[in-house]
Amino acid sequence: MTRIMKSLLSWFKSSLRLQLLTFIGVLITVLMILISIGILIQWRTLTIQQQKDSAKSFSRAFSIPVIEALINADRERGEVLLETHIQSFLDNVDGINYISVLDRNRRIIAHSDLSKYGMVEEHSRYAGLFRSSEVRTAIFKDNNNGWVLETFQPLQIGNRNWGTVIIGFNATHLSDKIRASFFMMVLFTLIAIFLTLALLYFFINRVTSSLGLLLDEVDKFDLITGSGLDPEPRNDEIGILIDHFKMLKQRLNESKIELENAQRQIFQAEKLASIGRLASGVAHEVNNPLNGMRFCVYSIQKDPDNKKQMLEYLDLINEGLTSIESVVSKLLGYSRQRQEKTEKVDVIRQAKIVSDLLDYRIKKKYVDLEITHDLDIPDVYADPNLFQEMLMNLILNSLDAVHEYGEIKVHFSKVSDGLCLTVRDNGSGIKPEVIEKIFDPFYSTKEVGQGTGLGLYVTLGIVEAHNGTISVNSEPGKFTEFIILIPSKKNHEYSDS
Amino acid sequence: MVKNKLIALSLLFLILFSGLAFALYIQLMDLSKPYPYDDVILVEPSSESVDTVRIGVISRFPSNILYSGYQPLMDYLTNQTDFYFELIVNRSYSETVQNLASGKVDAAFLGSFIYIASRDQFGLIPIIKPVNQDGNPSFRSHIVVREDSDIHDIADLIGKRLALPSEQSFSANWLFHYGFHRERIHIDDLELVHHLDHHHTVIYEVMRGTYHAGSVKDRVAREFENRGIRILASSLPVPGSPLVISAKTRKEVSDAIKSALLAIDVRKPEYQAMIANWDPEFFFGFVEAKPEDYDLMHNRFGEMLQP
Repeated sequence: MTRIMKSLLSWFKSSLRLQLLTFIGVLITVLMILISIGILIQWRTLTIQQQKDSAKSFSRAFSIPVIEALINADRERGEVLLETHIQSFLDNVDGINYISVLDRNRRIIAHSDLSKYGMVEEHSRYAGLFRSSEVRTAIFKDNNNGWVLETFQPLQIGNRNWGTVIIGFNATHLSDKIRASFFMMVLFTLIAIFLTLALLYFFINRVTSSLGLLLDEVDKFDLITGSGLDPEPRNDEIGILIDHFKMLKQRLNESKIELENAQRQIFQAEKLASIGRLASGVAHEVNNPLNGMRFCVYSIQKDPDNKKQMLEYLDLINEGLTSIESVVSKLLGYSRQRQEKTEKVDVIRQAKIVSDLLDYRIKKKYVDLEITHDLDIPDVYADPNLFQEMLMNLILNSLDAVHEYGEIKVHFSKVSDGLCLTVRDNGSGIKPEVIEKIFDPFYSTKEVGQGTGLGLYVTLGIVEAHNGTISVNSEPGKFTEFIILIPSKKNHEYSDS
Repeated sequence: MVKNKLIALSLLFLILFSGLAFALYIQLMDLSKPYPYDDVILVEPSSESVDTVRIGVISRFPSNILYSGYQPLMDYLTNQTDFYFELIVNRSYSETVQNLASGKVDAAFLGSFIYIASRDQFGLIPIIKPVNQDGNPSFRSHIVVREDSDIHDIADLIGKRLALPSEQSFSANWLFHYGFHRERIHIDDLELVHHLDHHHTVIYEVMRGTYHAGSVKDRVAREFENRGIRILASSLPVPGSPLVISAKTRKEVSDAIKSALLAIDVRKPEYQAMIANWDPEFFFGFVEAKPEDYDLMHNRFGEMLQP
């Protein structure tokens, strides 16, 4: 039973329109039915009462000449012509089934049916009534006459009683009248309920269709571009709702811009932080050629006439300057804050640039960095600067994680819908209890001053900006592996825009 | 989906509605309502079981009206005494007097005029007489005309038609004794003089224009005074119509009647409510009547007295 109720409730709650229609419809219907029943019962009561009052009036009117006749008969000790009164009444009043005049001993002394003369009225329905002084009425169904409204009129003045008059009025028309009224009321109620529910259905449909329209517009709203949600202006509550949605949309766009700015600043901050981590390597890269160049300058100053040596050393100086220029150029290229742009990226070349920038740190720790790729890696459309930053963050994390003579393997492969980049190291790994937090901003397991806690957060942001996904597998003390999937061009909405 | 649910709900509603309508139809179409027994009023015991006292009254009105005014008084006497009082309606004053004298009735309401005319011959004794609205146990008779009538003086009645109540009533006789006598008018000077059965009939016939003027007792004249009737002349006050007994009436009966009727205090609301349905002649209560109260009237009308 409870299950049936629950399923019915669930069925009922599945539609707001259904609930509205049902609740309001049931309320209106019940009210209309109650009102109709009330009117019908009241009308029936009034009609019956009216018939009773009318019957009582006729009965009283009839009884007056009968009393007069009976008094006179008493006084004159003469004949009573009650039949004249009865006949006159039957002739002049419609709808009378019978009239009976009884004396004080309940003996019928006059009756519209002559065969009843002399009989004693002992019907059970009159039991006790012969002691009454008031006119009484009763309604009953008679086998011969159908519905009968009967009056029991004592012929009495004060406490003086001369007998009783019983008049049976035809009440079949009363029954017909009530039946006709009943069917009319049922019809009226049904029509009224139908019209009300139809109007209700129409209005609720209008409201819900407006809501549906609003929902369509909300669905069209693009969180990335901020476009959509421009329905026709309206003056009703739906219009107010639309206005509020528009304001919400505006606030959302503003928040999005603020978020993008904040992200950009975070990206740049993290980039600068990583440049700081590259500084010792860069210094080494610059310092080595400078030492060579100083030795060349010293040798030329010592033997300025040795032209052969001078030419040879000038070439070496030029080579050193070129090397320094290359290092500075790479560093500048990496650190420069540029407008985001999407272009076809040579992911191997970008990996090489990052590898070069990290060369000093890799060698210093005797780490084996291996960059490999499948032969048929797909084209990737992305921002090369962001791609470098993403790769830089991952390799820097691996460098921090591995011990001396550790291994870092970067591998590019093709997957069904794009490029798969795997960065795996055999470093300290990540504990399971913190693995959920590593992409949170400002979360770091490194010592204070060693990291910003933004590296993986920025990496995640870059991957998501390219509609990609990032996942991590790790076993503490054994390995950590980041797997990045970046869709190829045709699925790459960010790139398209 | 929603449409299907609505159809299902509509069908459910129709089934419930049909059931309700059918139950209501059965209920409404049963008109049966038996006679009520809870508010039946008990009738007092009938005359068969107790000592019956018969009170005669002259049929001054249709029997229904007469019973409506006098039967409640009979019921009151029955309730207040050990006797059962029965009203006997007589056609004329003479019949009433005869019934009283013969003992067919124990007491009778007589007019003052018939009482003084009959008292010596039949040994009638007044025991109670009604009080008028001024608190006096007397009444007057008035000559009335239509409000728009050009008759403004008794002398104007010469050559006119005059309606009178019973020949044996004071209202039918005083005019010839006083007014006409003073104006030296003889009955033959009038176009027509006719006696009708009731005081009210006199009024109605004057209003219809059948008669130019009529004589009625003051209670009836005042009843119609602002309804198209103008009082032309009035008699001197005479003692009110008494309840009379004969020598055959048992003393305990007359004592019981006097005691019960004199106990009515019309200043008390319970009595006012009770007598509101009595004959208007009794609205202001009763005082005891003695034969000498009527002596003056007897002397004045002596020569006219022909019972």
